[in-house]
Amino acid sequence: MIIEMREITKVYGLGGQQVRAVDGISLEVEAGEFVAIIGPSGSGKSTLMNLLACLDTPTGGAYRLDGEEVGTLDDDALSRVRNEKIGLVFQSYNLLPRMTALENVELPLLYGAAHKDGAAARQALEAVGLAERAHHWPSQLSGGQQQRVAIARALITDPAIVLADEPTGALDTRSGLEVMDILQRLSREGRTIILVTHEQPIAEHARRIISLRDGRIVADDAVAHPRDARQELARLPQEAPV
Amino acid sequence: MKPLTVLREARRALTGNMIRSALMMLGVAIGIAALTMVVAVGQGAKAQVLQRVGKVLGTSPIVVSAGEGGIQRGSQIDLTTSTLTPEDARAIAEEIPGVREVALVQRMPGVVITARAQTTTAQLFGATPNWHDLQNWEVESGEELSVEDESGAARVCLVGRTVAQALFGEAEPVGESLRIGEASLRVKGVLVSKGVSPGGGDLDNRVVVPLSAFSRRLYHVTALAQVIVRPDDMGRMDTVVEAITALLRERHRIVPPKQDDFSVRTPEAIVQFFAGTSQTLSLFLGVVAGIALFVGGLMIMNIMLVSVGERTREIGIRRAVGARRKDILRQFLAEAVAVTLAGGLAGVLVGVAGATAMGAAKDVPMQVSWQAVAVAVVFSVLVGIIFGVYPAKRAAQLHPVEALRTE
Repeated sequence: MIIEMREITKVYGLGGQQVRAVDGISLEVEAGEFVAIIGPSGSGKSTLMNLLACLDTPTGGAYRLDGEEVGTLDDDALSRVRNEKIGLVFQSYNLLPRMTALENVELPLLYGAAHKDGAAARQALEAVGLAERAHHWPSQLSGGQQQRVAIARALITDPAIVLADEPTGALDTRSGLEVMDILQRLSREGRTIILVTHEQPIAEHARRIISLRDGRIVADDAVAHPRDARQELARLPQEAPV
Repeated sequence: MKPLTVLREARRALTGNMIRSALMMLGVAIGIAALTMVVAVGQGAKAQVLQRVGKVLGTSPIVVSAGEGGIQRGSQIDLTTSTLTPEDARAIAEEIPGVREVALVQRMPGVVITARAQTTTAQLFGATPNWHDLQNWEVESGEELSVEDESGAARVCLVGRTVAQALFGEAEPVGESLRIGEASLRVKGVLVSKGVSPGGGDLDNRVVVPLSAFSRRLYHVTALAQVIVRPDDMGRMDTVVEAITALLRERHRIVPPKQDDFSVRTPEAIVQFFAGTSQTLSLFLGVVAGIALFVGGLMIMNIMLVSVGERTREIGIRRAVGARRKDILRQFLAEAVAVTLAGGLAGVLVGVAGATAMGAAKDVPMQVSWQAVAVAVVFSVLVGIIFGVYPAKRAAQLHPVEALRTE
């Protein structure tokens, strides 16, 4: 079991009033699963995402990640867990503008993972098809390319899970599908992937969909026939050459 | 993060916003340049004073003065102070090992001296003939006081340049006579000019007579103003000074808390006293430069706080991929120190150049020492740390989730 959450809660004090953003979620994810977490805004999926990513600590409950109890770790230990076990992909790419694509991919290596080096970063860029853009600045890349750099950065430390938070939210259909294609390929290679989205069609690329509402899980279903991003890409009308 | 990586990240951030980095550097550079120049002026002035003092004192011996109080009260002592006697002098010469020779000196300030139709006021000294040797003060024309002059209480005197000029103008004073009160004295020689003392007095406005003539013919006193002591070995000055102090306390029956009725000073102490006065000025100027540096530091803190605000998202991203709080703290601190160090070095260069230019143009003594440069560089680094810590802490304390949410 890669992820094991037991009765996780996250309570925010909001002007004297308490808001239970996550209200007793129990969740298990096995290695190699591709899970989508879906829900409308305010359903608590961002909070759950932050908890899963160890960016935030739960108010209550227990969270085991890759065999390690992380719910009670201090800030330094959580930083290490983020560095070693979690690869994060954001809606807004979150690349550092004054670093080249390659340097962005190498960023996690600055904070640990000393056994990795520049060669690993080059390989990661190659894996997302951007080897020849290694020395471009983020501003010189399209949205889809930037998101692929972000995926390479998420993979550089060989994390236990990849967490993608609305990874297609800022992209056009084609770029979005390209990103989903990469995620599906990673899943096929055995990578554990958790995708957070509010779009049902995007979620259907996963093999399991967990639905949230008001901080609780309201449905947890296997997807019988996941969408195949590669086929969808093939069906798209050919782009007019620019 | 490895130290080298920290430095590389700092350089990246600093070259990323050149105008901001330049402004931060300027803040420190101005303060450090001011500090460097102030230190250069201060040390130059000190060196000048020391040089002047050194010229006057030469290889001066130990001076035992009558009366309590230090160097600054020396000129107030006159014939009414009768605590130091020839017997004290003899005791010092005979009882203290390591004392080679003593000269006995009495003096009277503001003595009216006339010659021909001219009148002047000068300081009158009575001295034993070995005074020339011990005080390292020769005559430029005529002859020095001799042992015979002393034993016979001869009616002879030596005049300083100022006195010679006042009484005889351009004429040769040697062989002329002058009057002090009722006594008529023959000018035997003219003393080598020693100019102005470190305290500002005219050292050449003096008349020196044999001590015996001073105390028998002119004033009828036996007490002394000074005993000048030459030790065998200048290196053993300290032990001799201690022995003299102990001996005189015993002879004068002085038991603490009663104050000494004499003072013993070495040339070193005199030098330090006068160096001290120029140090006060340096200190004042240093405080002004320190304020400039402080303002520079505040400027850096202000710019860094803005920078932390603008780079909140960057901090969030770094935290998300595994940067610990201390990694962020180190990164921002390294930037602050890098900027202040660069600014400090630039400031030192400007300060040295400014000091050199000012020294050349205004004939102000300037002295730049490597110690001063080192202190300036250390100071600039300190400014970076002191004023960088708060913004860096702010950056480190940002919550990753909130930092990532910032646009």
